[in-house]
Amino acid sequence: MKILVFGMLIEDTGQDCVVIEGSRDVTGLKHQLFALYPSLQGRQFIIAVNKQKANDSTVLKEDDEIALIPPFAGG
Amino acid sequence: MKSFFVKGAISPNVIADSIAKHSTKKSIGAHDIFLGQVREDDIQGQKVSAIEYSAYQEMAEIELQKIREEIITTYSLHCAHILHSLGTVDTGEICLFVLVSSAHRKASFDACREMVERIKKEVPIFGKEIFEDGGHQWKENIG
Repeated sequence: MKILVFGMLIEDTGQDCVVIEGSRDVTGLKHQLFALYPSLQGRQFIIAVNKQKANDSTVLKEDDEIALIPPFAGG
Repeated sequence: MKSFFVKGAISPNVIADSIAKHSTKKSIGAHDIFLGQVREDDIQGQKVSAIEYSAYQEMAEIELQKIREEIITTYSLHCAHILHSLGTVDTGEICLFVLVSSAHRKASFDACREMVERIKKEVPIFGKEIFEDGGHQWKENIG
Protein backbone atom coordinates (compact mmCIF):
# COMPACT_ATOMS: atom_id res chain seq x y z
CA MET A 1 0.00 0.00 0.00
CA LYS A 2 1.45 3.32 -1.12
CA ILE A 3 1.19 6.35 1.15
CA LEU A 4 1.88 9.92 0.04
CA VAL A 5 3.48 12.09 2.72
CA PHE A 6 3.44 15.90 2.81
CA GLY A 7 5.05 18.88 4.52
CA MET A 8 6.57 18.46 7.96
CA LEU A 9 5.59 14.78 8.08
CA ILE A 10 8.30 14.02 5.52
CA GLU A 11 10.76 14.78 8.33
CA ASP A 12 9.25 11.82 10.24
CA THR A 13 9.09 9.29 7.40
CA GLY A 14 12.27 10.44 5.63
CA GLN A 15 10.55 10.36 2.24
CA ASP A 16 7.49 11.74 0.45
CA CYS A 17 6.13 8.32 -0.45
CA VAL A 18 6.27 5.19 1.69
CA VAL A 19 5.12 1.68 0.86
CA ILE A 20 3.80 -0.46 3.72
CA GLU A 21 2.15 -3.83 3.89
CA GLY A 22 -1.35 -2.44 4.14
CA SER A 23 -4.21 -2.19 6.59
CA ARG A 24 -7.92 -2.87 6.62
CA ASP A 25 -8.86 0.58 7.81
CA VAL A 26 -7.43 3.93 8.88
CA THR A 27 -7.06 2.89 12.53
CA GLY A 28 -4.92 -0.09 11.48
CA LEU A 29 -2.90 2.07 9.15
CA LYS A 30 -2.16 4.56 11.94
CA HIS A 31 -0.93 1.75 14.22
CA GLN A 32 1.37 0.51 11.49
CA LEU A 33 2.69 3.98 10.76
CA PHE A 34 3.28 4.75 14.46
CA ALA A 35 5.26 1.51 14.81
CA LEU A 36 7.41 2.35 11.79
CA TYR A 37 7.77 6.07 12.45
CA PRO A 38 7.30 6.71 16.21
CA SER A 39 7.77 10.49 15.91
CA LEU A 40 4.51 10.68 13.90
CA GLN A 41 2.62 10.14 17.17
CA GLY A 42 3.48 13.64 18.30
CA ARG A 43 2.25 15.19 15.06
CA GLN A 44 -1.09 16.58 14.09
CA PHE A 45 -2.26 15.19 10.77
CA ILE A 46 -5.26 13.93 8.84
CA ILE A 47 -5.45 11.02 6.45
CA ALA A 48 -7.03 11.47 3.04
CA VAL A 49 -8.28 8.54 0.97
CA ASN A 50 -8.72 9.23 -2.74
CA LYS A 51 -8.32 12.96 -2.06
CA GLN A 52 -11.07 13.05 0.58
CA LYS A 53 -10.66 13.42 4.31
CA ALA A 54 -11.07 10.01 5.97
CA ASN A 55 -11.93 9.01 9.54
CA ASP A 56 -10.60 6.18 11.71
CA SER A 57 -13.18 3.68 10.46
CA THR A 58 -12.68 4.37 6.75
CA VAL A 59 -12.01 1.04 5.03
CA LEU A 60 -8.93 0.89 2.81
CA LYS A 61 -8.32 -0.93 -0.46
CA GLU A 62 -4.92 -1.75 -1.91
CA ASP A 63 -5.26 0.66 -4.84
CA ASP A 64 -6.60 3.62 -2.81
CA GLU A 65 -4.62 6.85 -2.96
CA ILE A 66 -3.73 7.45 0.68
CA ALA A 67 -2.10 10.63 1.95
CA LEU A 68 -0.80 11.90 5.31
CA ILE A 69 -1.62 15.59 5.52
CA PRO A 70 -0.21 18.00 8.15
CA PRO A 71 -1.82 21.33 9.21
CA PHE A 72 -2.49 23.75 6.37
CA ALA A 73 -0.48 26.93 5.83
CA GLY A 74 -1.79 28.43 2.61
CA GLY A 75 -2.23 32.14 2.06
CA MET B 1 -8.44 23.12 -16.54
CA LYS B 2 -6.15 26.01 -15.62
CA SER B 3 -4.09 25.44 -12.46
CA PHE B 4 -4.54 27.60 -9.38
CA PHE B 5 -0.80 27.39 -8.74
CA VAL B 6 2.18 29.29 -10.03
CA LYS B 7 5.85 28.57 -9.40
CA GLY B 8 7.48 31.14 -7.12
CA ALA B 9 6.17 34.61 -6.24
CA ILE B 10 3.14 36.12 -8.00
CA SER B 11 4.32 39.03 -10.12
CA PRO B 12 2.47 42.37 -9.84
CA ASN B 13 2.29 42.26 -13.65
CA VAL B 14 0.15 39.11 -13.51
CA ILE B 15 -2.20 40.91 -11.12
CA ALA B 16 -2.37 44.01 -13.32
CA ASP B 17 -3.05 41.90 -16.44
CA SER B 18 -5.79 40.04 -14.64
CA ILE B 19 -7.52 43.30 -13.69
CA ALA B 20 -7.13 44.66 -17.21
CA LYS B 21 -8.81 41.58 -18.75
CA HIS B 22 -12.06 42.53 -17.00
CA SER B 23 -12.50 45.84 -18.81
CA THR B 24 -14.59 44.17 -21.53
CA LYS B 25 -17.01 42.70 -18.96
CA LYS B 26 -19.36 45.64 -18.63
CA SER B 27 -21.85 44.13 -16.17
CA ILE B 28 -19.18 44.21 -13.44
CA GLY B 29 -19.46 47.15 -11.04
CA ALA B 30 -17.07 46.08 -8.27
CA HIS B 31 -13.87 44.08 -7.79
CA ASP B 32 -12.30 43.14 -4.50
CA ILE B 33 -8.72 41.92 -4.32
CA PHE B 34 -6.77 40.17 -1.60
CA LEU B 35 -3.00 39.85 -1.78
CA GLY B 36 -1.09 37.65 0.66
CA GLN B 37 2.50 38.76 1.20
CA VAL B 38 5.26 36.78 2.92
CA ARG B 39 5.95 38.51 6.23
CA GLU B 40 9.37 38.89 7.83
CA ASP B 41 8.36 37.29 11.13
CA ASP B 42 10.76 37.32 14.02
CA ILE B 43 10.58 33.98 15.78
CA GLN B 44 12.65 33.91 18.98
CA GLY B 45 15.29 36.16 17.48
CA GLN B 46 15.33 34.42 14.11
CA LYS B 47 14.09 36.33 11.09
CA VAL B 48 12.04 34.63 8.37
CA SER B 49 13.61 35.24 4.96
CA ALA B 50 11.25 33.17 2.77
CA ILE B 51 8.47 30.58 2.78
CA GLU B 52 8.81 27.41 0.77
CA TYR B 53 5.30 26.33 -0.27
CA SER B 54 4.30 22.80 -1.18
CA ALA B 55 0.88 21.20 -1.64
CA TYR B 56 -0.99 17.98 -2.14
CA GLN B 57 -1.58 19.56 -5.48
CA GLU B 58 -4.22 17.26 -6.97
CA MET B 59 -6.39 17.51 -3.86
CA ALA B 60 -5.71 21.24 -3.50
CA GLU B 61 -6.89 21.92 -7.07
CA ILE B 62 -10.15 20.06 -6.34
CA GLU B 63 -10.70 21.96 -3.07
CA LEU B 64 -9.92 25.34 -4.65
CA GLN B 65 -12.30 24.65 -7.52
CA LYS B 66 -15.03 23.69 -5.04
CA ILE B 67 -14.51 26.84 -2.93
CA ARG B 68 -14.48 29.03 -6.04
CA GLU B 69 -17.69 27.55 -7.47
CA GLU B 70 -19.55 27.63 -4.15
CA ILE B 71 -18.66 31.27 -3.52
CA ILE B 72 -19.54 32.35 -7.06
CA THR B 73 -22.98 30.79 -6.54
CA THR B 74 -23.54 32.10 -3.00
CA TYR B 75 -22.72 35.71 -3.87
CA SER B 76 -23.89 35.67 -7.52
CA LEU B 77 -20.42 36.78 -8.61
CA HIS B 78 -19.58 37.58 -12.19
CA CYS B 79 -16.29 35.70 -11.78
CA ALA B 80 -13.54 34.81 -9.30
CA HIS B 81 -9.84 34.09 -9.66
CA ILE B 82 -7.38 32.45 -7.27
CA LEU B 83 -3.63 32.09 -7.68
CA HIS B 84 -1.29 30.60 -5.04
CA SER B 85 2.47 30.17 -5.08
CA LEU B 86 4.39 26.92 -4.89
CA GLY B 87 8.11 26.78 -4.16
CA THR B 88 10.13 29.58 -2.62
CA VAL B 89 8.64 33.04 -2.06
CA ASP B 90 10.86 35.66 -0.39
CA THR B 91 9.62 38.07 2.28
CA GLY B 92 7.89 41.05 0.70
CA GLU B 93 6.72 39.02 -2.28
CA ILE B 94 3.13 38.01 -3.08
CA CYS B 95 2.10 34.39 -2.46
CA LEU B 96 -1.72 34.58 -2.80
CA PHE B 97 -3.91 36.54 -5.21
CA VAL B 98 -7.70 36.50 -4.99
CA LEU B 99 -9.86 38.63 -7.28
CA VAL B 100 -13.66 38.57 -7.15
CA SER B 101 -15.98 40.57 -9.36
CA SER B 102 -19.66 41.40 -8.94
CA ALA B 103 -22.28 43.93 -9.94
CA HIS B 104 -22.20 45.74 -6.57
CA ARG B 105 -19.58 46.18 -3.85
CA LYS B 106 -21.17 44.28 -0.96
CA ALA B 107 -21.02 40.92 -2.73
CA SER B 108 -17.37 41.47 -3.65
CA PHE B 109 -16.32 42.48 -0.11
CA ASP B 110 -18.10 39.53 1.51
CA ALA B 111 -17.06 36.98 -1.10
CA CYS B 112 -13.40 37.97 -1.04
CA ARG B 113 -13.15 37.61 2.74
CA GLU B 114 -14.88 34.22 2.73
CA MET B 115 -12.73 33.00 -0.14
CA VAL B 116 -9.48 33.86 1.65
CA GLU B 117 -10.65 32.37 4.98
CA ARG B 118 -11.67 29.13 3.27
CA ILE B 119 -8.43 28.87 1.27
CA LYS B 120 -6.45 29.12 4.51
CA LYS B 121 -8.62 26.59 6.32
CA GLU B 122 -9.58 23.98 3.72
CA VAL B 123 -6.80 23.62 1.15
CA PRO B 124 -3.82 21.26 1.65
CA ILE B 125 -1.02 23.77 1.14
CA PHE B 126 2.03 23.62 3.41
CA GLY B 127 4.60 26.27 4.24
CA LYS B 128 8.15 25.94 5.49
CA GLU B 129 9.43 29.20 6.97
CA ILE B 130 13.11 29.57 6.12
CA PHE B 131 15.21 31.59 8.56
CA GLU B 132 18.07 33.88 7.62
CA ASP B 133 20.55 31.46 9.21
CA GLY B 134 19.27 28.57 7.07
CA GLY B 135 17.14 26.91 9.78
CA HIS B 136 13.41 26.39 9.34
CA GLN B 137 10.07 25.84 11.01
CA TRP B 138 6.74 24.68 9.60
CA LYS B 139 3.98 27.28 9.43
CA GLU B 140 0.45 26.49 10.64
CA ASN B 141 -2.64 28.56 9.96
CA ILE B 142 -4.46 29.41 13.16
CA GLY B 143 -8.11 30.37 13.60
